[in-house]
Amino acid sequence: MVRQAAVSNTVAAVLMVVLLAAGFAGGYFTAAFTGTGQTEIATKTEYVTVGGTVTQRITITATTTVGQTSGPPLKIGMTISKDGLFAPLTSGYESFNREWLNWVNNVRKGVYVRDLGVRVPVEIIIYDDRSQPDLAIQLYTKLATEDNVHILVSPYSADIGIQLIPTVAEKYRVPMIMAEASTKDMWNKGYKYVVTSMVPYWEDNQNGWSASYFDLQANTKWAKTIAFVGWDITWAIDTYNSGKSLARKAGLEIVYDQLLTPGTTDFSGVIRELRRINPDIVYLAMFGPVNALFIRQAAEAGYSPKEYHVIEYGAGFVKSLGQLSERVTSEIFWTPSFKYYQSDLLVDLMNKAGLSWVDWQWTELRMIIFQMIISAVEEAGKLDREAINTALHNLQIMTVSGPLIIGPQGYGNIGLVAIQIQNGRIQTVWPRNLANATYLHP
Amino acid sequence: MDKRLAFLWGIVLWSAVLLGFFSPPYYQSLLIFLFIYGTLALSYDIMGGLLGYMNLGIIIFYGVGAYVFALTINYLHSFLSELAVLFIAAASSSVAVCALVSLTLSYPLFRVKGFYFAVITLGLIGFVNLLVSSPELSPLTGGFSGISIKSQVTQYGSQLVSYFLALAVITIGAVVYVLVKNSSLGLFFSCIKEDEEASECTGINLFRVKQTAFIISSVLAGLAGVVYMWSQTYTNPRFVFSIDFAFLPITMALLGGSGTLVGSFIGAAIFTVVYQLLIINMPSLTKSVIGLVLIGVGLGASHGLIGLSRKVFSRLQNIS
Amino acid sequence: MAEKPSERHLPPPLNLMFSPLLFVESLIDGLVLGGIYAVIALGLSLIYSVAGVLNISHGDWVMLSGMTAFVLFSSLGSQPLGYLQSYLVVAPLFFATGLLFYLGLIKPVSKRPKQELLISCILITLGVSFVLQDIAATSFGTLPKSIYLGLNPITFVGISIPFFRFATFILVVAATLSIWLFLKRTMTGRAMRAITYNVEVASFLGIPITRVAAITFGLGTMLAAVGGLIYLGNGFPITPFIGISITVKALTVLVVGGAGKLIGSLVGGLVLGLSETLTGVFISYYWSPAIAIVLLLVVLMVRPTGLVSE
Repeated sequence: MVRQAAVSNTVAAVLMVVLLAAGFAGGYFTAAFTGTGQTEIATKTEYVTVGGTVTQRITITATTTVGQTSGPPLKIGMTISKDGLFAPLTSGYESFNREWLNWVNNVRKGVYVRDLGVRVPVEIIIYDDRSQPDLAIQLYTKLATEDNVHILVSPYSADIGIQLIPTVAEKYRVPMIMAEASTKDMWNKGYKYVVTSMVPYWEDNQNGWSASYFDLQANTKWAKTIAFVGWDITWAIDTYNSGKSLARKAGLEIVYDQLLTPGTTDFSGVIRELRRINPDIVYLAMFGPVNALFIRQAAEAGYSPKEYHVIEYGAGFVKSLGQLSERVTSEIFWTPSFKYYQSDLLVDLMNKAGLSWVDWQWTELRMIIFQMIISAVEEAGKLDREAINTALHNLQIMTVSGPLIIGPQGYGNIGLVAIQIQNGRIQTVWPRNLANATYLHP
Repeated sequence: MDKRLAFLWGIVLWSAVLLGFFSPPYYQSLLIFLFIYGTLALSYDIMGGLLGYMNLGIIIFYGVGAYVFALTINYLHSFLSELAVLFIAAASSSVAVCALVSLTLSYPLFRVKGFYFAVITLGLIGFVNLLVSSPELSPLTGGFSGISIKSQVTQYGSQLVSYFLALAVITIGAVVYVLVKNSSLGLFFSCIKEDEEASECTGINLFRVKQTAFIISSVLAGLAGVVYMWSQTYTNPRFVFSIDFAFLPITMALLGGSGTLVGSFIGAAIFTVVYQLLIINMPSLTKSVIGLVLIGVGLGASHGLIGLSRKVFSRLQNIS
Repeated sequence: MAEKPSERHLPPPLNLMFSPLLFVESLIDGLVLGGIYAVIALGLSLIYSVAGVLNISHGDWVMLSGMTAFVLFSSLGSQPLGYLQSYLVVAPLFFATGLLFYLGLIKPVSKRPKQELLISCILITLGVSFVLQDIAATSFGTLPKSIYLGLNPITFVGISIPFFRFATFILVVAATLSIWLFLKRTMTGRAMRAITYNVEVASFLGIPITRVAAITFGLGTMLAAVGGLIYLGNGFPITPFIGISITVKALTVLVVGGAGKLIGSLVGGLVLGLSETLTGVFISYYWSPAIAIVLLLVVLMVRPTGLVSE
């Protein structure tokens, strides 16, 4: 009996080694879901001339008459979350990526690499990180070391993102562009391989997340009191703190201030208190769908303030709230009324991807990232991580949201503008030169 | 231990060492997680499989190990510069804190058993999460934004070192497991597991035995946390003190085969290597596949995959 | 700019002294929340004490029923009536599913010795939990789903309660009462109670254990489903991954109240709900989930078999 156990233990041990080997072999031979462009024959060139006080990048066309993509592909690596906490906020990116890839390979005919003298196709390798940090690290390691991508794009979550910087980007020296979430601790450690397009929005000056909104308040002066409700989680807390400071500077009195555990979805207590305190503005610093939930629960309890401000509205906000979404304010990095560069293209891509820009609030950031990548590679002139990294850090280009200059710490200057939902549509209401509607307030 | 078996394990260990030197970075990082999770599964199984007490809160010690390690190293690095010394000092403090915490907790916790023990250890996780994330404690723990090892220390780390640390820890875990299982202490464990009331009559000090099991398993989990922290350099409360993660050690142990050494290894292998394979190829259905495997094993062989292989093996023997 | 001293948000409990109505509203809220916990926990308790299974997938059934109801609600025009109609569909559906779950997955292992049985049940129910989460995520998507009934709150004497909170109270009472009557008056119910006392004697007396256990499983799952419907109706969001935390809450109620007795689940649920709400109001919203563990510790120290025991 003991001998049987010993032998079957052995069998099991052998099984385990076989399993491991199979795992490696399997990993070696399988591919992630990628997209590669097909090539067409027609030639197309693109010139964009821009003037102004900022030196802007002009996309260079090939001086040769080669009209199709060839050569080794430019590889971009990223993960999205199809499962878990962040899934609702990122699953739309897959179809956007697909459309952009189709455009860059078939319409733009790839990215020009000076050293090779050709326009190379672009490949995006995406894995599903299931909102799990351990998994994300391994997958990004795979992207950096096995799939040999040239550039990484961060996942949605700043928590996961901040962990990836030392363990993947800095370690394997792969340039990484932080997508939606940025936080102070990413930029004060002397990391060399990270950039982002966004302003340091945790600051309580004109860079602040809601700076445009509070500027608008200082200008209209209709409100006297404001209440703050938020989740104590990366990004939300940055906007919360900078928001409070900016609110005071705008002359508002903070009459309520409640930070909640991330994950709280029962707001009855808070709503009860707000009903008695009755602030003019309620500032909600949580994820889009959660803000919508708050507004709904408040309505069911018979409460609504004169105005809601949310830091994110996100997918399905207008549709699910219906009438309740009227007059809600928020901020965004881009709206179709922006006329800087390739706005039309962005709208077109989103339509093709089946995404409404109203629903997928941060897709413009992804577009900017793609614009950054194209420019950086063409500036660098070679498919080399170091060269691309240098180019990224020195980037000065025109994006859908205006001129982008990457600063010495690695973050950029793309800021947000205040918007308001009016008649089910999202209207830019501040600053005046970009507004396409008037701000409605009591 | 059977000479042949020892030889076989020697080969496994040697191949692990070779893999460390020759495998590409991605596979190396996979293996590191395999070792860490394997240690976690073993630490759970010491209490769950050998003693019969389902400690669903074992990951608390994983997190505590990680946090104490980071805190100590960040504090000490301004006094000490020798990396090895730093590491040993920090790891020892993790071990000490884990042992202390489990020693203290054993007094209230062992007043209950079975189902109630499982529920309360599970509930503790949420509490620890709140505690560590709380604004009150955040000057120490970094609150919800987590804790990281200072970059002045991490620049000296390399994945190869992390690999061998992880391998060392799981080897320690395996040795401890086998030693305990085959010792008189292990005998006491199985007595308690079989019939606690009867064991009381034999005069063994039940509480001391249970407490020892708790301390050993908590220290092992803490070591897993140390390696985790060293290799990842960053963590936050939502990663280590989450209810979803809490079910991982028990699932690994049960799936592979509770009460056996190899069982924990198999369970860990499935949840690292196989899981990744599935994720890469069919992300949408991964959880269902794992779920079906769990159901299948539960229906077919409650002793996990090891039990299944034994059944199959003995059937084959009977046929021949 | 320095903080203005006149910020009107007073820390608890001062805020209550200025508004006793707030306190009353909080009490009512706590009881309602407790009622939801009680219904869900009752299902789990029945399954555990009669069928002997620790059903880790219990919370995922709550989630699934909420998801199904959401789909029905949206496709029936998002009207409150549609929500009510979903009860008629979901409740029997989940009863049947629970029955099949037991017969298909649990019965095959029910003859195993105690230790093995426990391990098998954990593996099986955990596996079912994973599968349910994945099915929900793939079919319904991962965006949080919540409904808005748009009904006016009920106000009296300066207190305002959202309409559905009030309805929850009625639903919880109805559900508990029906189960109580079922357990007391019907043959099956009495058989269930007999099994809870001593399963060997019950089988010796000729009670068809398998059939009764299957029905219990169906009932328990149905209660989970009703709990999910009530949860959704109160405006809470459902994502495919909330299952495990609901199961943990239900387990807490079981330990606090005492498994195996209907009154236990009711008392446990109400106590938990009240404690959570009052902790939020008196101490801070941040710590209200922590009260569950404090309750657990206190109960286990003082009365380990639960607040309501033999």
